[in-house]
Amino acid sequence: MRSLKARRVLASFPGFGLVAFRRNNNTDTTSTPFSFSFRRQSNSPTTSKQKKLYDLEVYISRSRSPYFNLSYEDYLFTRFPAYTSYSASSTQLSKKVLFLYTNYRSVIIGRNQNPWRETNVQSLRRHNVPLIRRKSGGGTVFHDEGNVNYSVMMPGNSFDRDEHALLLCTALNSVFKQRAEETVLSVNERHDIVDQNARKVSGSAYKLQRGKAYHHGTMLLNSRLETLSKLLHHSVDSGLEVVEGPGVQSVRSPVSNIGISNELFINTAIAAFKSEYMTGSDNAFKARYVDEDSITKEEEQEVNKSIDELQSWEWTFGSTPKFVHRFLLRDSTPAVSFTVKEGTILDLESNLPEFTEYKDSIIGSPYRGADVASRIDSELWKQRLIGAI
Amino acid sequence: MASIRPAAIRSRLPVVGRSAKFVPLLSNRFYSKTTPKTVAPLFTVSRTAPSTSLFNVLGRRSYIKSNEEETPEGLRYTEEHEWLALEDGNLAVIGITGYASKALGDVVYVELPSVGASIVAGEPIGAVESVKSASDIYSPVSGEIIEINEQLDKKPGLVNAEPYRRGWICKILIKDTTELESMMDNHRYQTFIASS
Repeated sequence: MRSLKARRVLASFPGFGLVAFRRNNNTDTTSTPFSFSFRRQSNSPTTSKQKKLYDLEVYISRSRSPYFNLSYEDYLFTRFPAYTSYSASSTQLSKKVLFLYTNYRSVIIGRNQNPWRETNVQSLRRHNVPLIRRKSGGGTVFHDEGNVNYSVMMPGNSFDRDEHALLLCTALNSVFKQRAEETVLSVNERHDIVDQNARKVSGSAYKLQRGKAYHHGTMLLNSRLETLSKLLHHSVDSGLEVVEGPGVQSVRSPVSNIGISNELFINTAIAAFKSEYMTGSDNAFKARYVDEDSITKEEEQEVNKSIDELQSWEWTFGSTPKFVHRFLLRDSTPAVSFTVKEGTILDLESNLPEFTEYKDSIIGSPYRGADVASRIDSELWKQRLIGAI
Repeated sequence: MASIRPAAIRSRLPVVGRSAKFVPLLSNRFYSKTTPKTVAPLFTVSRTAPSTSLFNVLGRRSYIKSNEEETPEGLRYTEEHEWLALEDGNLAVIGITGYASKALGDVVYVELPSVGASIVAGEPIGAVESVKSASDIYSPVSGEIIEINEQLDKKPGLVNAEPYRRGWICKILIKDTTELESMMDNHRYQTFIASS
């Protein structure tokens, strides 16, 4: 394995010049959500390769359910120890968890995104594609069985946005070389893995809590990309709807598959993590297959709680940051706009009697198609809103 | 209480600071976007105040070295990189430190708590999103949320640009001021971030 440290990644911070994200080789015990090291390029120390070893645990999911997999990921993260200055012991190796999973066709939005802005909720419903809000930040991604997700949990003090993507790049590049394929992967400034044509093959997102963090990413292997573009076609692209408000908007990128099998990717990833973070002996290596049937009763309880939350309307739609959803007529004149906060209609603006007559009953209603429709009389608008909201 | 917040600070507050709650530090009236970087102290009154005064230090922000600017004197800090400024008795303003806001990168969304919510020290009260990362914000004290910085809805970047001023997160009515004693002063916080 080539040294990761030699492949220092430069990221620019406003007002701070060039900054190098550096792997933290100290065995210090202080740790916080934000305590990854960052320092000026000029005075960062030269690389003296000293591997930081971890107590590595690997989990591979046999389930294809995005609800189970995201919930199990959440469970693993909750159980992951928080490495803080008052809790850590310096003698023990810190833990690192690698969790690999594949979901059936689904669309996953970031923690602070607006599903009405980022996806076409009508088309997702029509095609029976689950829409799920995850706990980490970032933009909207499409999952199917040609995509493998990797999730790495680490102590807060070794949080690094690029380390694991670089590790995978190096490992995959040597696979391509062996197979005499021309694919060469690298990590771009958005922390995504891209191929030699700058097409994205893997997207990253992160979550940081006290003393711990995770980085998870997609890896497009043989994903049906034409479905992706159809499903991620936004509702607002029609020009008949406008969504305004704070929150995170996705950045659209050209995408590509790397074309290897799920098994080869999983084996390559595990081998790379083992050789980077463990000593030579295989004895300490722990890998576990998980799915709905093989988890313990205790795990099942926690995971089911989390599945219930992920499936709830309150989480997926109700926790959208405050926004205004405007519906236009064919000639682009505004027809009605709803101001929505915490899933409830706060205000309504319209010149149409179809809405103004019922304003009082609409305000305070949950922002769900059926709820809004039940408060108006116009059949035409009922149909339109049931589809679009 | 006296040991927590020297009486000297209160007695030397600018007059306007006593009547209007926390106005001197955070209001647009005193600090607008158009204010040039090399602006003179915000409060000329503060010339008479001792250098330990929070308002004095923040007022002379443009004159202090960058590493000091990241951890102003007179504030209290947590290991999770929140700062706390006591405003009046047990009313506290909370935000994210300059160090953390730099490490996080460009903040694109701040998830604020609800006004009226009761909170417990050490529990998350919100989160910031930056560079695809959702990071929890923890309350250093127990109490009730009195006010939130709604400006952050439209301008989340204030957390990066002015972490100790217009980038504040929320105001909390503290239930038990002894909780403040476990927080770090700026020197200890500086040592802490240097070692992590």
